[in-house]
Amino acid sequence: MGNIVFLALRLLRLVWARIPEKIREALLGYGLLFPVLLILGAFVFWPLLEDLALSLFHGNLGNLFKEFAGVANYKDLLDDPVFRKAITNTAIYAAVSVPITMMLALSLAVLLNSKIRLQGFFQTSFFLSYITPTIAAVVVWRWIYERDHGLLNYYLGLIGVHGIDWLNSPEFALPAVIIFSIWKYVGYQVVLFLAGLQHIDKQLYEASQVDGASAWARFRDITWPLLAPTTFFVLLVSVIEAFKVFDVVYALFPSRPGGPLRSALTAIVYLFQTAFEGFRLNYAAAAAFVIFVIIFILTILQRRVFERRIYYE
Amino acid sequence: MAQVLVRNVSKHFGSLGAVNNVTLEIQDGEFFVLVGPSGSGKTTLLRMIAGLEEITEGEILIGERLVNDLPPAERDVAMVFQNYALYPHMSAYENIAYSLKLRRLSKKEIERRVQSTAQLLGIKDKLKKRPKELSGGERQRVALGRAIVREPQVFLYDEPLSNLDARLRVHMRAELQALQRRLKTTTVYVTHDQVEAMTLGHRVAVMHEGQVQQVDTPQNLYAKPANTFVATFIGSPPMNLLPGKLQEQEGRLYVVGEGFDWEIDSARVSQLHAHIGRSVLVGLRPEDLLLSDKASNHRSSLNIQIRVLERLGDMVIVYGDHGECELTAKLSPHTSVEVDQSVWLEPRIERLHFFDAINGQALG
Repeated sequence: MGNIVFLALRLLRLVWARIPEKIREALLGYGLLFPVLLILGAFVFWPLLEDLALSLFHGNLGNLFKEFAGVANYKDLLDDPVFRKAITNTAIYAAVSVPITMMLALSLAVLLNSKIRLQGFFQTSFFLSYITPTIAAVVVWRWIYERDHGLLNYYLGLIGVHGIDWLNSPEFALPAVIIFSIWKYVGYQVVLFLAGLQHIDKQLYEASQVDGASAWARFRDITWPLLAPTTFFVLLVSVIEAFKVFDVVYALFPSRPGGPLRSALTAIVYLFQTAFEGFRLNYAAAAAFVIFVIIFILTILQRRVFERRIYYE
Repeated sequence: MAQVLVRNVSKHFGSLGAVNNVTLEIQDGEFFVLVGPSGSGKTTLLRMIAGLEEITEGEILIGERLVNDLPPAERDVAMVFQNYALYPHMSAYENIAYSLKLRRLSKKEIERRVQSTAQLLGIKDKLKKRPKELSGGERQRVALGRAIVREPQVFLYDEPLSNLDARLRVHMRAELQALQRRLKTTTVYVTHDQVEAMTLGHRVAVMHEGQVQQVDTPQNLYAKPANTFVATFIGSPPMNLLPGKLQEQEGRLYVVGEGFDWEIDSARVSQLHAHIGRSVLVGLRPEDLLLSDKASNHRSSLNIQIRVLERLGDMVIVYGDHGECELTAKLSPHTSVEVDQSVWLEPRIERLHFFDAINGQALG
């Protein structure tokens, strides 16, 4: 047995040696890629195709591929006011929370990056909100948002704003989600921005100081352009994250996911409800694919718009 | 253009004194070099002049203006950094133009000044390139251009040549010298390289442990070092130092040490007279040691066994031990000596240096 293995190996080596160098290199390359491709294929590409296929059929739990439907599910989606509401809410959520979080995080990171005491302490404190499980944090935030005894309304009361029912009024449900996620993600972004800032050569600031640059000019001409790769990365990731927002909404409004009058209904919450509460899996698959396409297009758009202007070292 | 005055300036980092009570008077238009080993405080001093480092004590004046509390931008100085510190995302043009843009000069004026600076530095065809696409020498020129274009009162250089290879360094050294002669801008130049210091400086300040050891012209630093530190720091290979004693015999002055007694020439007797009986260090430049034959009075020569021998083409450097002391001598290239050979070296008596054995200060 051992002999056979030995012989087989020798034969393999002989054959291997006869393969032209170029092909050998290619084979080796693909061979090394294979495990990753396998995992990506099994858990990303295959499910995506499966989702696409599912979305083109009508079916039920017993038989998901009962009847070919073409784009019927997509047509229905476009006419579905709830789905449109979910997409609109998600877009508003992304458009408001992403820039605010980023601006806040960048300002905090710039402050933290200057020589201040207890830098590590602040860094850790900001990061804490990110590593706290959403469910646990939401329990506290539900209290903060409470109409009569909540902390937020208490402070708002000090400046004359009274009685906002954050979690039960349609106007304030989505803002409540946005405020919570700003709190949650700002620390994470601070850490990313800080890493980017620390990568910038300190001597450039000295050189620009000697050149006569004010603090603002230094930020505009040194920090901002050299931080662009980080900023772009943060933007991409947080837009994607924003379109995937789910747990906050689900936890903040446990009795009626989506908030009062679906005012905080987001795309993934809609997806979840359609698929696992309404059990309309084919329809949900179509929704999932639409969300995927939206994120995909947004990502490509961002690359198109920003990437050319970014200086990568 | 302006004079730079440094008056009793100190810099402490916590309890650590980086610069201690330094006073310098740098003349208008002078090329002034600060030289010293790393950690001697020279860069800290330069950064204090630039305004990048706070002054703990003392005063700095640029063109009769006290600048202690002025930010770098208002001091009208330009600095060239060791690693150039070029803005990586800007082209060479933008790098040079940046300070002018900040001063809101017109586009036309900026263009004119950048072009003429580029012309002067020979980088006109490189202006569109980013620093990464430039060679070390070209980056150096862009960094210089960034300083020159502003027409500042003072240039500050922080080891600007140390990132270049040896050949380019020699070349740029000559260019810097020519540039300064042309622009006549007061220049403070920091280096740890004594060759740079000697070749560039009108005057050189040798720094050690935060203090100025001596300020003088290169020739004087070499010929009349103020103490043993300067004596051994300036000159390559460094000056030899031998312990000895000044003694008077029958009205003549001798310096006596292990294996030698040398009569001091009469011209110097008067200046050394006060130190008779004291322990001294006798300083001997390697080129002031000559090969001698044993036949002459051996108390006038030093015997060494050659340990290392370097043939440099135009000279031969020999290293050996004389008692406890290492001796170095620069000999003629035609000398036929070998490693392990025992040779006799005779000093030029008139070129001896004398230092106090305790505090290292030059005598006489």
